[in-house]
Amino acid sequence: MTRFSLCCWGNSHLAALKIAWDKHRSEYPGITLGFFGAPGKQLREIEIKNGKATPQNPQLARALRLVSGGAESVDLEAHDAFALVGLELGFRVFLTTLRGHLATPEFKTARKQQDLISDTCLRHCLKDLLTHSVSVKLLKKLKRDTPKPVYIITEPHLSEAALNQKATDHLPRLKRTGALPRMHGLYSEFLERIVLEAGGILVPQPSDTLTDDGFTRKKFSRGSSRLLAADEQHDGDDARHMNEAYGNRVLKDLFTRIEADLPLQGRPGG
Amino acid sequence: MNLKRLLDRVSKREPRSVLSVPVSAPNGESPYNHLPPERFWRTGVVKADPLSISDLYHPKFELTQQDPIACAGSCFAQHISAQLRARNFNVIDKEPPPDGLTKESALRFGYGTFSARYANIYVVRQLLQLAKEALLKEPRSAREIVWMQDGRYFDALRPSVEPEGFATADEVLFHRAVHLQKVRELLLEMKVLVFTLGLTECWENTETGLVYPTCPGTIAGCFDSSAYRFRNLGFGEIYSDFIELKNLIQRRNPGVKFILTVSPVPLTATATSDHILVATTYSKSVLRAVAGALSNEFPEIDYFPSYEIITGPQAKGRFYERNLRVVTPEGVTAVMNTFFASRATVSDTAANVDPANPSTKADSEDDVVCEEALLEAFAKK
Repeated sequence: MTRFSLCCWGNSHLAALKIAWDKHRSEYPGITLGFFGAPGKQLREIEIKNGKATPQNPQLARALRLVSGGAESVDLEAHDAFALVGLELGFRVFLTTLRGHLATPEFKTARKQQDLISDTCLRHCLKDLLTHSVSVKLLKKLKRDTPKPVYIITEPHLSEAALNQKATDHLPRLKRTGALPRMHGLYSEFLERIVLEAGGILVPQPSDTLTDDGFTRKKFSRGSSRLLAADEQHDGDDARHMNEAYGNRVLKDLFTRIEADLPLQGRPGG
Repeated sequence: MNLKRLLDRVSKREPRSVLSVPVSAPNGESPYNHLPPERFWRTGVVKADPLSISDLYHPKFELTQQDPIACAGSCFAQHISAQLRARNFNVIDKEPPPDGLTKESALRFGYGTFSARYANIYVVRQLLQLAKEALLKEPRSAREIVWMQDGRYFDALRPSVEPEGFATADEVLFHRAVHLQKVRELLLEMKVLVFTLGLTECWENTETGLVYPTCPGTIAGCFDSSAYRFRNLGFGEIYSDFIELKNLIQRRNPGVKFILTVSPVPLTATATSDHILVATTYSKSVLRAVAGALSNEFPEIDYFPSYEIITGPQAKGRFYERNLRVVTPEGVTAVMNTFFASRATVSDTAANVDPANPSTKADSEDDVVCEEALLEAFAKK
């Protein structure tokens, strides 16, 4: 039987999926997973033309070779589908906006520590953030060149550990204003719409990995791995990157979604 | 102040510049004999390079990159504000845009153009009203300042900064109150106010005399001839408005200085019965006269001749786009090079601005927000 080939593109958030895949690949015998990534926003420098994705600078080429195991370009024909992982698309990025600005209802309870913006402006801000993310730009590039399905896996929500960190000290304040549920609702609404309009298929963060406040449960961030050295772990207090358990949980949802979309025999890999 | 008394006062007072730069000569010789080249039309203008006219401007006071500067005024003021920022001057921004908003969206929402989100201020009276609201907490009723359009609510005194309006009138008032707090901080912190005088024509509330930046019904609101009336403010009114503004600010911020310019951008439309060319010439002449009178009278008020650089015969119209209204990037560069070249302390910085990069060299008109241009939509094709 033909194996289903999925090529995962991403940045540092790819690491959790890679570690999980290395450990659990035997559970998905019908699937081949390829990884194609580079740190930060470097993937925006990739050109997709005539069925091929190629890096536009040597730094990106080097990173891609390291992550993919030697290849620095991707032949789109060689895969059945693509997944874009992280790439600056996520609730965390929106929370950075809310560090400095709040819309009217939240501003009224925030003791004016932030600047005031209108709800309309907040929505435009969210739309701009998502539309201009590397993920959505790459999605559009891919869809211009291939009709194959592209799955979107967002950057995980910050771990609840972020509530105790200095770099994100606005989060406890934000939590006290009661802004988070409304902001998360707004984010989800825009995310779904923008990904759909760009021709992607959204695979949301599994709800059982999230707390009621919209943070990733702490157990999923302990011992997260680095992208370019998957055997090395992030600092103990890294609240942005998740571990193998999280990667495995996301893979399960991703394969379930693929299974629903494609006429695979049995479960993914079956 | 009584207008007649004011005009008497201005006309009787000898302008300071005449006293400080006397033209004198020994008896029997013409006072013009020993004047420098820039005092003669042929050598000062005909032979001048329109991109850099020498000795055109001698600043009255120093402006350092550390001085907190506030920028306000008409469309053209946006260029000045952007250029000062590009050259690392300390232009205050009391209402910065949120992270993530693109430059285009930020401009649409009135961010990053001036020192707070008050949008274009075309007439001095608008700025005076704003200062009174911010510093004296002069009350405004919702009836005066909330306009409705398609079920949304707008701040009539800055309708363009929320292009899609607010959900309720209360939200307009709440946002205005927060904005006024920022303006208050700005007026108290600034050391220099750079203000571009744009128009003399405006629309005022018949009941309260409040003037609006746009005619009701242009961006928002609904025109009602019993509620609003047209005004073409004259020299005395504009002069006295500025004196009142200056005094109001200086009582709380005594060291503040002012740099005035006059916008070279012609009117898009006139509500007078005059031809648009006549109306434009009248408006700009009045504004230029007010700026000159203020600069002559007060050492803390300087006039920068951007208007002359763009509109003067030496330019032969080259600094206008094909619509003869929008100032070209080359024109903006000519203006700002004159401004910075006259300030020795910033010449090095000025030289560092990349001439190939239009965002630092001169802003394209696409980046300038001009509500007045909306009137174009009302012009017959």
